[in-house]
Amino acid sequence: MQLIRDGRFVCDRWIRIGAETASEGGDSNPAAGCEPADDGRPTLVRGSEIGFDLDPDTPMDRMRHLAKHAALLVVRFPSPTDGRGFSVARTLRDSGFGGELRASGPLIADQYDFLLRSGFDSVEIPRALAKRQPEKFWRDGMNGLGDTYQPRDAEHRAILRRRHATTLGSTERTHAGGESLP
Amino acid sequence: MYRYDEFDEKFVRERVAQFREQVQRRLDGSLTEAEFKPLRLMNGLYLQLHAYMLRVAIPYGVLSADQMRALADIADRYDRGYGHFTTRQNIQFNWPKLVDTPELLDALADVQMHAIQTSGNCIRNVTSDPLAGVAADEVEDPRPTAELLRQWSSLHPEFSYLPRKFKIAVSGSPNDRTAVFFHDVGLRIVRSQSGEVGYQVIVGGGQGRTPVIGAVLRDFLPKGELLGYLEALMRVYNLHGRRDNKYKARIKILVRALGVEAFRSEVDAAYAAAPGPSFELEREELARIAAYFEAPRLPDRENVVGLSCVVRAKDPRFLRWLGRNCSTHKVDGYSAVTVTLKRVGGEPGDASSSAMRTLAALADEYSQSELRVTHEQNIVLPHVASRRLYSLWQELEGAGLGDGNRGLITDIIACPGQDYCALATARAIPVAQGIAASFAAPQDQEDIGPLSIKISGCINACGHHHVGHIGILGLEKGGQEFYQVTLGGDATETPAIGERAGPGFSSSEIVGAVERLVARYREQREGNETFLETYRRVGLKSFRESLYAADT
Repeated sequence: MQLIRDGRFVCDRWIRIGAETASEGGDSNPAAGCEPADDGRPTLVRGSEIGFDLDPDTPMDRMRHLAKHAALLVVRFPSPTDGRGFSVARTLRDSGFGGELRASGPLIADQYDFLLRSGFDSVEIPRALAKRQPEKFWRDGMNGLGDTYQPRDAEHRAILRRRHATTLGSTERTHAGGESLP
Repeated sequence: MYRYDEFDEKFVRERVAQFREQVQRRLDGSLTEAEFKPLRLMNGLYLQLHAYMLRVAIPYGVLSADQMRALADIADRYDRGYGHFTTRQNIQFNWPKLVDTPELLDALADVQMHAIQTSGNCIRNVTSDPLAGVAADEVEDPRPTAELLRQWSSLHPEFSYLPRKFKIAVSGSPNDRTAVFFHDVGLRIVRSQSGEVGYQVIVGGGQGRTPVIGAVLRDFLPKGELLGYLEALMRVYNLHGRRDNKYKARIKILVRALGVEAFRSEVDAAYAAAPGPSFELEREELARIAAYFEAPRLPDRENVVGLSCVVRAKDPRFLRWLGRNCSTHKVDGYSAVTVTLKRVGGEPGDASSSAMRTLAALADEYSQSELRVTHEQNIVLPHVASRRLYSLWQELEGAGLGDGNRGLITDIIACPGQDYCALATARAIPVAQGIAASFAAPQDQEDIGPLSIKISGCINACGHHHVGHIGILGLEKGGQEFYQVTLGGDATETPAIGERAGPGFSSSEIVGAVERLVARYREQREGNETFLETYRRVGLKSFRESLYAADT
């Protein structure tokens, strides 16, 4: 797999536990290295830090539990059009996960901006795809879209916040109105 | 109407530049067709039976005269002189070349239009009431909410790769002209008992293979909470909607599988867990947008004259048009005029570039340069001084657009069918033409009264046959087209899904079948009952007997 961070192809310092999945041979099946962490054992290590692979099917409570102990969470995308991972990332960020969030699968550079805006820091793609979609595509994709309409995007890009910056300041609501909840 | 500010302008331009570059990468092979497909669909570009088709968004159906003229120019330059207005307030052009599409999108951007999210598995063009801001029964103008949703949903990072397409409609009136019960999410602007204005949220309605009437998810959602609540709802759908079978991937299937109660709990939990956009920001933005939709200043002098001078005209065609195609306006002395694009012998929803230019010119002359597109594939001139209706009608009549048949048996909705669409299993347009020809006599149409016939050329139901008073579904068996009839459908605030009448009819029998249904209605009706009212009183059985009379 090729790791991409800040629009650059970089080396992965994390080591996948289980030698047979750590090799580049995993490329024939981009998801081969990413088994759901059912038994609670970490699937990645870096020094004293641990990381987990997450399948988008993993129950959200389980993901939140793993997030408490992890410095890295790798969210598997079975295909570029299976968009569950975007919501997984958003949910993990909303529940306070501050470690590295990585998207893994046959994703394309045109999705990079969406991935970053959903809360991911890094992306790993199969080597064969990385040949067809070289680093330059990802660098361009990082800023492929300029301003955006979603208020939660970075201040300098979020159209709605910039329009009303003078009346509202930059304060964001921290919690949705919960009065109707059970 | 809404005008782009510098942010909107820049956004649409950047999107065109991005698409131009994506097309280039497709052409040089660095994007595969499989990778390119969702990207082009998110920009409204379909691969159809004969060629590409580009679907352009007309957000909540509002068009300026200049925009209409630009669409006419596009029709001439990139199509064959036609545009096809759809049942979701979009317009389709049928023959653009892939390499030309970026240039076409530039031409749209020049008049503040785009094709963003008119297809693909994302949040589609938001639809609304064609009489928004005009209708006297309105609680509040739905257009600011629809525009807010257009912006919020545009290239939303989390919701651009959903299990399936997602359609939202917003209605501001108790009398529903937007089919809110047949959308993935329908929003009705309502007033609470304390007088506060907010939203009733309806979820999981839809047509297609599995017609479902939407369920009320939230009776009253205060303003300011809309985006946060919708994000929670979309998140539940994005995570849990089925992805293994595209025919079971719409939110209606998820809501049905979970049950409305369980779905509501999921959404409430997601809403409680996630900090959505701030209430204040949403309210501020709604207020900013609403300022663009303040009613045009209509000259007071017009009010005095009213209808008195138009009714002096004795032309029966005009009087029929006046009765059928003109709606009351909030402002005394004004009318909203519907121009039906359903000429006998024409194709429902099709407009030639010259008809578009005529409509644009008439909008400049009579309607504050504004037009609306309806989900019945018609055009509305929303602000016409009532004293000038006769003169407007004469001009429409001169252009072949003066038919007074809105809501009547010849105001038929039909999808493009097998004549254009790769998915269709039967033709739809010739059936519409056959029925229109059979009931061409205006007196006949008047006598029959309100009757909505909707025709789909396959089970995907783009012609909305499930909600037609008479629905016709074209299918294919052993190489032969045949047509199933459903009865009693209703897309309004008294929603109903049509009931299957029985075995289908061949293409040569279907017009006769409709004739027998109409004859049965005329026998059975009491007083001023409409077709639908009679149907609801006497039931399917009586109409079924008339349909299959020949067999017994």
